[in-house]
Amino acid sequence: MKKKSDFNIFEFFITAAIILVIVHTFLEDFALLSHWSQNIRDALMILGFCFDLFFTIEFLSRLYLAQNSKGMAHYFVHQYGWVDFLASVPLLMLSSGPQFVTYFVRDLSSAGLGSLLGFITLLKLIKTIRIARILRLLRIIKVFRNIKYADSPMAQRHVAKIITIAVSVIVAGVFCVSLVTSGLNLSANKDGFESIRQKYLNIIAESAANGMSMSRIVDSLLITAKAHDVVMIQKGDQVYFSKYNESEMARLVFGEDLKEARLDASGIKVVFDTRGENITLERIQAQDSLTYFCIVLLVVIAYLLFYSPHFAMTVSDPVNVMKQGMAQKEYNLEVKIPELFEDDDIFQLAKLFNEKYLPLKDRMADKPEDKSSVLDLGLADIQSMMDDEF
Amino acid sequence: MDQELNKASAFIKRLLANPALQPFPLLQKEEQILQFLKLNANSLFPTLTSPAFFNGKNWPEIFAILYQGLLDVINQDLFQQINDQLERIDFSFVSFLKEVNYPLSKCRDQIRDFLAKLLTKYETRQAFNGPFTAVSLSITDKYIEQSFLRHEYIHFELVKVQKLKMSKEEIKNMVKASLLLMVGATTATLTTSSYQNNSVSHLIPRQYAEKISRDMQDQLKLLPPELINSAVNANLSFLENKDTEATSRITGVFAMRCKNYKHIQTVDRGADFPDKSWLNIARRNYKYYGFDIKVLDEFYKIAAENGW
Repeated sequence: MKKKSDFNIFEFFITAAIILVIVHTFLEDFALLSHWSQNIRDALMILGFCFDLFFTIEFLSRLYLAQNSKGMAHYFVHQYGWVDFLASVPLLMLSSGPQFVTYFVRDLSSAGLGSLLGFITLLKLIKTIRIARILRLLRIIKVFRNIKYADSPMAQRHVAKIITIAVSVIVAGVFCVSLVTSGLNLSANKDGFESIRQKYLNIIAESAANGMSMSRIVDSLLITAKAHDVVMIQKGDQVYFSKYNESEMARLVFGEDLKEARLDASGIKVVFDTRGENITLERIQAQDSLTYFCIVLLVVIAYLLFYSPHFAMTVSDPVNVMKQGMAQKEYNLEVKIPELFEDDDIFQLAKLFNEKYLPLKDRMADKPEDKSSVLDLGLADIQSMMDDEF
Repeated sequence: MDQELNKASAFIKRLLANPALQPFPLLQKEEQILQFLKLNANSLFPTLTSPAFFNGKNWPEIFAILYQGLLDVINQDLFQQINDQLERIDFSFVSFLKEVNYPLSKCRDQIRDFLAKLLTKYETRQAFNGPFTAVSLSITDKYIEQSFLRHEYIHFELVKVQKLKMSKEEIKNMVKASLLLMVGATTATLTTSSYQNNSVSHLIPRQYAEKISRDMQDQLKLLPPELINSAVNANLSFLENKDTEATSRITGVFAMRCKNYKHIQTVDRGADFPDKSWLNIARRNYKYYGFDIKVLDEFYKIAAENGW
């Protein structure tokens, strides 16, 4: 008994965590679109990592425990193990994990561990596979798997199944489409950076050809080009313009945050910031994510609001009434047959129940013998009484 | 003995307080407890024969004490309830039928004494359950009310055929009085088992109904024969006795409706209303129970329209 209550507490805790993580998923994208402060976004990112880690541990624990009961395959296929997997491990590996490590390793690198630069770049690349975040929507399935919203286990299972199919299809479809479009976006971004670089090179080449002084070239670069993106202008070892101080520069990663345009003939190098372009891309993706999030949520709500009652009315409720009519001797309520569905198999059966079974049962109940079978009072009902004295 | 009866009463009172019995009317609770004691004798005996209960007694002795305790406890409430219901019935219709002015309290006293005598028998108590529940729930009032609004078959049968030139309220009271008295016919079904219909336990043949009516008229001299006939004939099959009074037909239907009545707090989703369901089943079994199908049809329509 204690074990069962412990299990229920655990499941309640898991469900609460899932609801929180869904809210978190929404907030993470919303924060980006609403220009919330970087600190809040960082906190949300760390929270996301903690959730993913927690669900990964939960998945591995369930997988381990399944080994001792019905087997891993049974858990994976029949007990929504695949949802537990997809909504945890890939997210930890491809989304929140790289983000989290990048966030902390970047601080280490700023402290002088420059050798980690390559690793950071790799993680940053992985981080760009934001489409993995879509898998988080699968957690909605887990919520509706854990919450009991229908009296009948059959209704619960059918509605959960149909929600699983709908959400999985949407997520899988979005995942595939996003995979293709994000590839296109990355390539478009790369082309964009190339054209910016080319623009800087042209200005430098043109200015050098006109014999302009370095200060004029700097002005020309800052005026003509996207000034807010220029981070540093250098000729040889001499820095003519720098937007940030040394420590601020150390937090930025060459190749990822920063790119450079260098004209070897003149020895002039322009370092420009690419984060603006990346943030725009992130915002587009966040907007898409929110749209998918809303679509999935609306689909689930629509199923719960419209399909679930329909299933109850046309399948589980009539079955329940017939079941009670057959199990309890004094239960003689007829099945209500909606005109619209009277040709359904289930209501054809209900018609037979109403017209044949109940009248027959009523006649049988009128026989004076076998009164004990209508007994509602059982020994279990008076167990506490029997222990007391009078 | 008194101490044992007290123990039995305390035991019965605790059984009666069990939530499983709360949806049942009083006499059905009694039946439930009786059946429970009979069915679970083997399990109850070791505990009930212990020093805390009825030390050293055998099961028939224990059962007899418990049964007496049950009757004492139930009767206390039952006769109180009967008194309450009798007080609620306006017997002014008696004067209308008998054209003699009797003090109404005497009519009540006569019925009370008559029932007290009958309700000493187990079978009569069982048979009284349905009619008394119907009276307690005032189920007749709402249906007669609606029938008078509709002016259809039942209204026609009451006013034109049975020629009850009395008010709607008086008819309601007459049906309630019929319900209380219809149990008088149970004595016939008890003593003359050979005359019982093989399939339906409560129906009696015409000639015995007439005999019982005569016997009852001797006992209930203040009550008009129309009322006693209405009560006794509620036990007749309409199919074999097409001239049965409308009040008898209505009384028979409501007595049977409340025979296995169980209060339902909320109707299950997907299930029809309780009265509507019962009346629809009764329509299909009308030949078996000897009901007037047209009365059932009208009551069914009323129940369906009103969500009863």
